[in-house]
Amino acid sequence: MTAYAEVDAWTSQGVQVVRISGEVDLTNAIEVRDAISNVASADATVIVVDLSETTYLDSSGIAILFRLAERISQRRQQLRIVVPANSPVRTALELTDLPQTIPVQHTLD
Amino acid sequence: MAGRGGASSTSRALRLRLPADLGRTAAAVVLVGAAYYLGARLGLSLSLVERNVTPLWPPSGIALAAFLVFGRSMWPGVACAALAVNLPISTGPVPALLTALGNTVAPLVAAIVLERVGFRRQLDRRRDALAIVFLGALASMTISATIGTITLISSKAIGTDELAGAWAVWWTGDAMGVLAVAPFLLCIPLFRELEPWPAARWLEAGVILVLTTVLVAWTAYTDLPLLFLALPLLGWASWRLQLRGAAPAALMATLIATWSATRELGPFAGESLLAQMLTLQAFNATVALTSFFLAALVTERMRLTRALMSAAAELEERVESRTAELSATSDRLRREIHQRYETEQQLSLEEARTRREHHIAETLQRNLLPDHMPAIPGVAVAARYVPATADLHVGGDWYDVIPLRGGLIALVIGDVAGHGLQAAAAMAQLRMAVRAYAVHDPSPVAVMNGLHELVRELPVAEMVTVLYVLYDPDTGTIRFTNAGHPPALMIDDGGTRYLEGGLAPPLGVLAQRDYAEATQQLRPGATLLLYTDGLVEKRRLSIQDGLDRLLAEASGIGRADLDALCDRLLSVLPEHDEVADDIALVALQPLVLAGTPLSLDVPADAHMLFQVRHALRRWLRESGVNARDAGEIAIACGEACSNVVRHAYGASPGDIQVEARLVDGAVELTVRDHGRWRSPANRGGGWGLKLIRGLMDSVDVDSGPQGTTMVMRRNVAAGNEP
Repeated sequence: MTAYAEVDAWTSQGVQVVRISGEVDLTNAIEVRDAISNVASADATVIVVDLSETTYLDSSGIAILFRLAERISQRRQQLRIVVPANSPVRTALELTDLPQTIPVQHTLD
Repeated sequence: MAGRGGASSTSRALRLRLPADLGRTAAAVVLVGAAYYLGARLGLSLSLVERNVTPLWPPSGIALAAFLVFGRSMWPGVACAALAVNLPISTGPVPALLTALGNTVAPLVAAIVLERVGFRRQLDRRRDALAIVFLGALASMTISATIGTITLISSKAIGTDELAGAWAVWWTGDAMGVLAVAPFLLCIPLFRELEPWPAARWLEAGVILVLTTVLVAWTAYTDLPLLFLALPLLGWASWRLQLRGAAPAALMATLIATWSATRELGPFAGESLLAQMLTLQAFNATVALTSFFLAALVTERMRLTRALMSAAAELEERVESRTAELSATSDRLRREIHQRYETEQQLSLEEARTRREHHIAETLQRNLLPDHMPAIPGVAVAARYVPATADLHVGGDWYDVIPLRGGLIALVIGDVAGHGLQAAAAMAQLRMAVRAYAVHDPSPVAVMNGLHELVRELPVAEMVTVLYVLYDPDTGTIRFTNAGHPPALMIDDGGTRYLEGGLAPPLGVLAQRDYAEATQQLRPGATLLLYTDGLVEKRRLSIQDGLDRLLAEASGIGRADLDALCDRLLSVLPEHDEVADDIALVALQPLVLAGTPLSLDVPADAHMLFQVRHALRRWLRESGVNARDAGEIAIACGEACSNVVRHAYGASPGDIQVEARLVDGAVELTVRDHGRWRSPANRGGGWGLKLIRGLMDSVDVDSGPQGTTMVMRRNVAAGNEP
């Protein structure tokens, strides 16, 4: 959908999964955010953003995750983020305050 | 000319050929004998001395004419007739035999001598007239005269004292017989052999003959010595009618004069025998000589005139025919020149049109092809396009290098069969289509499927060959599909070889599509060369030979700068004087990054961020930096570059310089710009610098009016384990 990243979503056991594959940077962060907004169901109680397939995520990508978290908490939905232990974006995420506001888990399970 | 052949045939010696039929020869012999006998009777009736000595002895002329016309085989007739004539008038059989012998031998010798000297019985040359007078008549007849007089004396028919007179009479008689009779007889066959006379000629001949008869008869009767008056008439006859007119008139004149002399009439009256003989023989000789000489002279002149006229006519005819030929040739030349001129005009028009079209097609082609190669950090790309020099062979070839998402690079080369504007236009559509399909789905099979459908829809009857290669710099692999195009050439440490696999027929050939892709590693430093058939097709070489040559040349060049490689191949492979077909080349080479510092200089554009971090990642990977370190350094680099893009230049263009090097187990990353920083926006949530500092071990920023330089270091662990 965008030049480097794809967003797809599915529901599994009442959990809305949104997967971001590829790379997110300055050029496509807004598109990725809009794509997530489009696919994220308002009905699901839990929304999981899966970054297992995300190979690059810079500060503009992290920024959209914060915005997303804000919106979701306003809707009384719960946001979780999946980042594998060996993910190249894990350290960057941990350098921000994100893990303090959003639960981060290694896998979808 | 052909119609005048008769002139030359009349000058040929004429000889009546009797068939080798004994019966007819015998008949001729009898006939000749009879004529001889009758002539002898006539001669005897004209005798002056004894009964056997006459002033005109026609048989000798008859015999000579017979030998000349019918051949010497007539001698028995002559001999028998002579014997028959002489027997009754001789004193015995022996003298008669001897006299007959003389009468036979003399004309026989005359005929032989005349034939020897080339006598022609047409009597149409002066030498013939001279020959018959002197050899045929005067000389030969001494034989018969001598034998005859000796016989007369020995048989006591005359006395010895009469010898000279008798000999003279005998000799002159025989000679005059030849002169008067032989030409007349010889002229008779001429009426059949020469061109026939018209009625006017016959009338003229008749008049001359009658006039001669009357005149000579009158002069021979009257006492006045006017015999010479016959000469003008004979001259007339010779002049107008030649031998055929003169001989009868001469014979008539001689006969009448001789008859007159024997009767002692007119001028011969009261004269002595000697005077009579002298007058008569002088007259006869003059008549003969005058007639035949003049006739021969006139004939000769006429023949000459006719030959001249014929030559002149022939010349005129030749001049006419030559003139006609010349004018026909000249006409043809003029026509040819005109045609050539028209053809040239047409050709130059055509040529001008062709050249113009060639120019348009070439311009179009050049404008349709990428004017510069995209700058892809870490990858060298070169391309060439050489239009055909010959006529319209320009237009169908194209190449393209398409940077795609995920750092993928598509390399395309294609050839629309056909040339000229139409092929160039089709090429343009296909090139754009490949770009569109590749952006949508860069996989080779997907692109080929799209092209397949497109070519089937396009109004391009021609076939299209395409080689599409998708290069992934991150993995160093190429995936390709080849629709009927010459195979790509790979040059690396493993050697030089053509890439097999992924083959399919040219687009637009088959209705069904069945494309597959092949995969290959493209290591750093390896070169991938795509080209169109113009590079390997030569007039006197098969495609296979061309491929072999390309392989050999490329192997010889070895590892080289891509531009040098392209230039070298183009200088060596095509024919020097002219490029028969377009040549397009595109080459790609992943640069060897390990071991040397990475140095990138790219536009300060958000879209370059991807390229920069990918080049950096490749460099890190190839330099042995582990994936985790590499990923985090890439993020730090991305943040630094993003800041430059967002803050350094405002709306004006600028560049980003990125350098990376390994120093003592640490990666030193330098990001430099030449702009003036404005206040940082809040877009990144202010995380940018924080991330850089968190991900790198040390960060130094040096900002000034000439720009900002950020130097970042991070200790790294070697190894590729994730």
